[in-house]
Parts: sequence; C-alpha cells; structure tokens
Amino acid sequence: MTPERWEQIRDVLEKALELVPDERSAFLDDACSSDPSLRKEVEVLLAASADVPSGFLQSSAMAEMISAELESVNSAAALKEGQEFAQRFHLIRKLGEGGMGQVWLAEQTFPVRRQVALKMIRAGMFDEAVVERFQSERQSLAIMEHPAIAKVFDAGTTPQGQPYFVMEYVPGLPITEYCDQKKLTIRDRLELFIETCDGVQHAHQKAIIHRDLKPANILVVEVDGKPVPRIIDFGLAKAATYPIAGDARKTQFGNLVGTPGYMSPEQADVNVLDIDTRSDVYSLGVVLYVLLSGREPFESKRGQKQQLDELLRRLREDEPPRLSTRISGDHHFSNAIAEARGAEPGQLSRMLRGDLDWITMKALEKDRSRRYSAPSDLAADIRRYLNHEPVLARPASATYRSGKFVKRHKFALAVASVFALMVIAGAVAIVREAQIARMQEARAERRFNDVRSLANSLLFDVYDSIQDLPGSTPARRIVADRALHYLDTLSQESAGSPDLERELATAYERVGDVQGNPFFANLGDTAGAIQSYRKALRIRLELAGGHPSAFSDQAALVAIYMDLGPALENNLDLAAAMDAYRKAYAIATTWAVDRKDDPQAQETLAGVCFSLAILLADQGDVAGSLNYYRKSAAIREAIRGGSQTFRDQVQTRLAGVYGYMAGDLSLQGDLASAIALQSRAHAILAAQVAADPQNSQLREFLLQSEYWTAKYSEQKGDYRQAISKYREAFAGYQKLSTADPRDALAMRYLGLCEMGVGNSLSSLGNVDQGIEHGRQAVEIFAALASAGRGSTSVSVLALAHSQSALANDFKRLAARPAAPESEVIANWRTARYWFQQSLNQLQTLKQRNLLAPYDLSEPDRVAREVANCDTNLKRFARN
Amino acid sequence: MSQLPSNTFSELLANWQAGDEEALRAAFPRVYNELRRVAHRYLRKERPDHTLQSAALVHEAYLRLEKQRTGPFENREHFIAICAQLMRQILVEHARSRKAAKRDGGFRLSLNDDLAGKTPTVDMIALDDALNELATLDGQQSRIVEMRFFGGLSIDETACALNLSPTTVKRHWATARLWLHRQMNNTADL
Repeated sequence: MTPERWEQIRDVLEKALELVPDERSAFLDDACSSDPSLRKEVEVLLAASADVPSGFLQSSAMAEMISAELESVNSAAALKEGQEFAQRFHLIRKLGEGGMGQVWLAEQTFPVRRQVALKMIRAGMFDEAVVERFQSERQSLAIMEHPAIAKVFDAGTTPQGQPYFVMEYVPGLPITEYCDQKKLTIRDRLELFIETCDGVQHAHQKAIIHRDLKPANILVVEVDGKPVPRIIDFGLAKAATYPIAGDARKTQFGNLVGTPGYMSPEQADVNVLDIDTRSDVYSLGVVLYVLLSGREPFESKRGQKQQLDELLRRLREDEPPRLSTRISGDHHFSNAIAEARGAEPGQLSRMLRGDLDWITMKALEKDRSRRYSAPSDLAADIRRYLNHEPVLARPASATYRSGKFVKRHKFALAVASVFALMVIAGAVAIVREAQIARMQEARAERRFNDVRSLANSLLFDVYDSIQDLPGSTPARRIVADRALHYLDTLSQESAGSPDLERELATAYERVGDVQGNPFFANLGDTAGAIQSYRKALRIRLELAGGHPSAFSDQAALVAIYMDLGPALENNLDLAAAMDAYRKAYAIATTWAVDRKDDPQAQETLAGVCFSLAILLADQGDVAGSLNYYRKSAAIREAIRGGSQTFRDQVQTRLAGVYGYMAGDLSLQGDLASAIALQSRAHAILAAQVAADPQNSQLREFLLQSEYWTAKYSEQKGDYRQAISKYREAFAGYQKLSTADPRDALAMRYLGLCEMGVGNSLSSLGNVDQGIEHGRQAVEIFAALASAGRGSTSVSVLALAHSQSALANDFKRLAARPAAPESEVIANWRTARYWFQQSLNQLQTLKQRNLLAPYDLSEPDRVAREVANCDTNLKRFARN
Repeated sequence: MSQLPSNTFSELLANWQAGDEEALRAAFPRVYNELRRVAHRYLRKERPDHTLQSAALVHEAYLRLEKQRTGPFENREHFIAICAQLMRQILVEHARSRKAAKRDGGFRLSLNDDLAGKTPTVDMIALDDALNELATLDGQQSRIVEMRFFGGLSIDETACALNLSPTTVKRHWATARLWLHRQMNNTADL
C-alpha cells in the first residue's frame, strides 16, 4: 500500500465511521463509485471494527505495565513454606501480611540457628532508595536493647532486590487481645502498659520513633508466668516509606505512615513534616484508650470502621469522647467490655472517670505541645494514679487533692475512731490548705528549674557526649529541637534575672551552633541558626548595656557577634556580616591592649582578625585580607599561656589561618607558597588528630587540608600527586559520609574530590575516566543544591564549576583526532549542554549578586564556550 | 546497569535523541522508578479497588520527570512528545528482553516473572512493528498513537502537541486503531 492510497482509504473510512451503520452503504456507493477496490478495503476495515475490543490501546501503556507489575509485587513472589530464603533462612509459615509486606516465621541456619521473624518489604527492582534507607536504619535499630522491644537482628536485600528485616520472633498475642483473653483487671492492664511505655522511652532516647504503635505491634509473651510486653517493628515504618524526590524532609516524614485509628493528628496532616516522639505518645494514648474502654477513640459504632477520609478529618478536628462515657450506652457491649476487665459496667465506668479520663485525654491532645512530652511522663502519671497520688494531667483543685490524701491514708483513717477521725479530718483540712499554697509555689519554681536543668543537660551533657560520634545527626537534631522548645518557654519566665538571662543567651548560642554554625558539622539550618543567634544577641546587648564595665558580658558580646557573622555570611548577607565583625573588632582591640597578658583576650582578637580577613578576601580586597591573616597568625603563634585545651584550640585555629591564607595565595597564583602553608596546617592538624583520634571535627579539618593540598597540586600541574591526595581525602570523607549520610559538609568535599580526580585524570589524557568522576561530582552537587542542605549558594557555584569541568572533558573528547563524525557531533552537543547548564547556574548567582570577585568573569567565559560549541556544531551542520 | 554513570534525565533524553542508545538504557530505571513511586503512592492512598487511573498516573510521572528538566526542550508538549517516544522504546525493548530471557532460560531481573504465564493485554512487539508500518503510510497517525498510547496524552493534548484540531486527532486516532488492530491480527495469523 502507498501513503496516497492509505490517505484515500482513510478519508472515506473516517467519513463512514461518523455515519450510523445503516447509512454507510449508500455513502460508500457514492464515494467509491469509480473505485470498487477502494470500497472493498474500506469495507474490510469497517467490518473489522466490530472485532476491535473497546479497550484496545485505550488505557496507557505505562498504566498497563504498572498494574501488571503491582499485581506481581502484591502476590509477593509466591513464597512457599519450606522454601529457602536468602540462603540462610528456612521459611516455616506465614505469620501475616499487611500493607508493608509479608511476615514469615523462619528458621535461620547461619551463622546461628534460631527462629526469627522475617519481614519482607514490598518492593521491586530499582528501589535503591528503599534499600539504602534500610541499610541506614538497621544501624540505628541495632542499638536498641530493652526487654520490651523485640530485637532487630539484621536487614538485607536478596539478589533479586527484595529488602527484608530479620527480627526476634515474638510468639505472643496483641496486647489488647491478651488482656481480654486473660480478663486482666484495669490495674494489671496499666502495669503492662507502663512497661510498654518504658520500651518506647528507651527507643526515643536512642532517637528512634516507632511511628506505627498499635496493639498488633505490641505483643505480650509470658516470661516465668508473668506477662511481658514486647514491641515489634520499631522504625520499620520509616525504613519502608517511599521518598519524594527533592525534599529530604519529606523523604522521611511526608508520607502517610501509620495505621488509621492509631496515627496522631500530625501524621494525618500531610502539611506537617516533622513527626517527632510525641506522635508515639499519641499512639500510646490510643492503645491505652482501647485497653481501658475496649474501643478506639474515633470508632463510630462497635466494630464499624469509617471511611478513611472521615476518620482523618475527625482525627484532626474532633475531640475524642471521654473514656468513661464509652462504657455507657450499648448494654451488651458494655457488659462484655466490663467482664473482660473483671468488673461490672457501672463499676468500670466509675474507675475510668476522673484520673484515667484526664490521663488519656492528655495523651490524646491534638496539639502535641500539650501532650505528655515523653512516654516516661505518661507512664509516671499512670504510676501516680496507681499510687493514689495527684496526677499531673488533672488541673489542681482542692477537693481532688484531699481525695487523694484520704485514699493514700485510708488504712490509718479506717482504724481510727469516729472521734479521732473527725479530729484528723479537721487537721487534714488545715494542713492541706497550707500545703496546696506551698505546693503551687514550689511547683512553679521546680518546674522552671526542671526545664532549665533539662535544657542545659540536653545542650551541654547529652549533646556534647554525642557530637563527636559519627552518625549522630538525627539524634543531634532531636536534641536541638527539644532544647529550643524548652528555651523559648524559659525566656518568657526569666526576665529580670541577669544570671538566668546569661544562661539563656549561652543556650541560644549553643542551639544556633547546632543548627547551622558553618564551622562545624551542623544540621544545615542556617536561617534557624541566625534566629537563635539574634535571640542571644538581644539578651547579650541588654546585659552589656546594663553593666558597661563587666568584662565577661563584653566578651560574650564579641562571641555572639562572631557566631552571627559566619551564619550571616553563609546566608549571603555579607554587609550585615561585615558589620558584626567590625563591631567585634572594635571591642576586641581595646581589650587586647588593656589585657596584654590575658591569652583569652589575645585569642579573641586573633579570631576577629581571621574572620575579617576571610570576608575581605571574598570581597576582593586581597591586600587587606592578607594583612589580617598575618595579624591573626602572629597573635596565635605567640600565645603561650592558658590551659592545654585552650592551647589545643588555638593550634587548630592557627592551622585554619594558614589554610585560608594558602587559599588566597593560590588565587594570586602563588601555588608554591600555598602548598607550603597548607603543609604547615596539615602538620599541626595531623599531630592533633594523633592525640585525639575520636574527634570528628579535627578529622574533618585534616581531610580538608588534604583536599586543598591536592587542589593546589592540581593547579600547579602536578596531577599524579593531586590524584593521590584527592583519593586519600575521598576515602576519609567517604567514611564520614557513610557513617552519617546527612553530613552536608562531607558530601560537598566528596563532590569536590570527584571533580578534582576527574580533572586531573583528564589532564593526564584519560578523559573517559575523567568524565565518569566529573559526572559523579555533578550528581553530588545537584543533590546538595536542590536539597538546600548546607550552604546553597556554595553548592550552586560548585555545581556550576563541576558542570563546566564536565563540559570541558567532552570538548576534549570532541577534539580527539580521527574520531568518527557522529561521535564528534555528539560530544560537541554534550559539551554545549553542560556549558549551558553551568552558565544558567552562574547567571542566577550573578543576578543575585552572589558571585565572588574571582568568579565574576566566569559567566562570560562559559558563555564564550557555549558559543564556541555552537560554531563547531554549525560547521558540521554545513558539511 | 549500575556501571553507567548517572546523568540528569534531560541529558539522557538529549543524548538519546542524538542517537545514543546507551542513554535509553540508562533512562529506563529512572523512568521506571518514577512510575513505580507514583503507583505506590496511589496504592498508599488506600483506594478500595486499587485501580490506577492511567491518565493521572502518567501525568504525575511526567510532572515529576519534568522537574528534572533543565534540558533543551521548547515546551511542555515537546517534552512530553519526546517522553512518549522514549516510553515506546523502553516498553518495546523491555518486552523484547523479556522474551529473550525466556528463550535463554537464564535468570534475569525481570519486571515480573508471573506475567510470563499471562497474555499481556497488548503485544508490545507486534504493536511496535505495526506502528512502524503505519509510519510509512502516515507519520502523523503513527505519532498520534504514540502520544495517546505510550504518552498517555488525551485527544486535546495530542492535538495541541501536533498542532492539529481535536476533531482531526479523534478521526485519525479511530482509523489508526482499526488499522493497527487488523494489521496486528493479520500478522499473528501468518
């Protein structure tokens, strides 16, 4: 058939199809009168139209492929009893199947023989993200060690890409079923529940949130005849969540994880991204509610589950009905519920009324800041209830407290005579009144001090003890958030007390450091850091203003300016940063003169000089910058006094000065001096790391020093030396990054090392391998820039550089002699593509005034490269 | 597959257009992964029947791929048209490799081993052959099918991408389906 013929057929066919079948024959008579074979072709197709299934090509190809795929994933690759799995498990029987995947009871055969629960997560090929998160979760899960938490032994992925968890097999019943079956009393249920809270508390201390607490995940086993709760699936909800590209936080939190009925309001709200430990407190509250009343808070009628949407809405908007009211109403049901708790319905309702109502309501508060802040607090309040002590959940009221007093002393009261009883009652009343007033006052003060010591211990003890451990970022984030929360509460109550104010300012500074001090491994929250620093500055200014001559307040003021400056720089507010440094410099120079023998005062000035030097260099004032560097180094070289720790810090900072100075000299083209200075910095740091090998900060500095030595060697043309140094640094950073994948600084240097190795290899003529490294670099920086981690503008600039470097490699390939023309064209095209990409990034930076002076000509240079690619491509187009 | 350096999706598309077949293979996991994620999200919404609304599904996947777009594409229609072509290549190649894997008897990571026993709704390879055939008769009609079936575009979107009226697209689409169905069945009978 020819196209012309088909066009004829098609035209007639299309018209015929628009007619009702009865009219078609007449139409064809007319349309094909001169061409009987045309009519025949059309008629064949018309007749065949009845055979075309209505769905033929109607759904999309991808949808078909995906439904087929999902069907197969849903049937979970047909695991059978008795089958071998992952070469070391023998499947015994399926324990269950849920949204996340299947759970099997299996016998592990290697390296130890034991029964385990194997949890296979629904996933298929290419789900590398899930698998990766598994690997990182397994580390944190392994550190939990508590009798109420089922152990996670291992996690892995089969060669077919099936991720699985190996967990302790818990042959128990869900806590609610167990309690009902054994007809446990309210007291026994509460005891079991307290133990459950202890387990969750333990996990929270290890910075692990369950996210899916519900009876099915809290099993009860009997140990020596005594029921013991054991929580399963800790952290799995997170590990098996699908990430949403481009937003690291959503990756972890953004999906609807949890079980309707047990999930917290914030989990039900897709706009809330930061699910924290208080979400588990809510779920525990629901479990408690069900344990006590036999029903979920939002269950509409017995056993009748609602539509998910409706449930989520009620979860976000409605107040749950009180426990005690759940028992009245449906009589058959109430009887059954009460009987399972060894009580009469009326009796049960009375038991639940009051304290237990209050406790569950507090655990189920929609606003998480009003909930118990930790499972241990919930447990402690239940303990108070069991001991007949006043519970915190209930607002203070006199009759309530005296009721408690009478209950606690009911034995003594019972044996007393009626007369004695009346006397005691009178005495009680008097004592009680006084007690209440004292208690309230004492309580307010105690609370303040509790919060204060908690915030301080979080910031200084907990944080310090974990900050040098690799892999501690999530834990540090939780600590920081929690601490900030406490501080904001404190700051409202601490006005007027200078000591407290100082303490608060220090605490805010710490939180700022943790959030985004660019000099340390931080949480990458620069804006948050500036906010915290400004809070501290406000307090410091007041303090320094109020006591003009107090040296320590002045010193603290310099310190906060010196914290604020770098954070502002990092946020690209350079003018504000310069202003902060200049203010600090004014104060610090006065001191350095006034207190010649105080090493602290000298060091402070050295620090300010250093920061000024860097900022001046960034603004293009090379001479001014070198001047301040030299001043800073000279001061630090001369410092002799102070404690060992102080002198160590001075040394580290001295290495910093040399390192930065080397950087600026290298920009001036003085590479020999740069390498010499950098090796001095390296020597200082290497000695320090040898003395304190656990200090990850020092290790990072040392790695940076290695990186820069590599970089200067590369610039000097000593490529082999450069490659070897880059690889050393790369290996070190990889260790850091593996230990803590969220460490933005380590990621950045990994990218820089890749770029350096790539460039050096290409310069040595090994362009193909160079490109591979170059691509890795682009990938890393693109991820950093889009995730907004660390310093975004720095990442974007690095991205631009890595892209133009990659483009350069393709340009080199294109220039290769004797290459086939198609290859040459493809290489020019790819080169052009990458130059253009780089140019786009650079122009954005330039428009926003974010380019450093020595990068200002870069956009024009790259633009010329793009034009050059076009010229070459045109040449081929003409040929 | 993991040996290949990973590029941006747009670069892969650009390279593939420039004739780099490797780029296609590298793009596949990316596209496939996106689709799976979208599909899983649909499942997670716990729709009672678990049906996937194909158009919505595909659009969401495109939206997400498009986010990675920084490449040399003029407009959205252009981008989607390229995606549709790519999708066709991917699905057909996938069908071919699955067929080959069965013939070899060797184990291969396949989308889905269960599917081997089932008859897929559409024989991708036969469709591909028939579409090539149709392209020799009318390139535009073949593109319409590509965009509708592989690209998941509606009549109106296809019309917009090809700069045709929706009525024309609708007519051409109807006759193309007819022709393809007959062509595929005839070939099967031979």
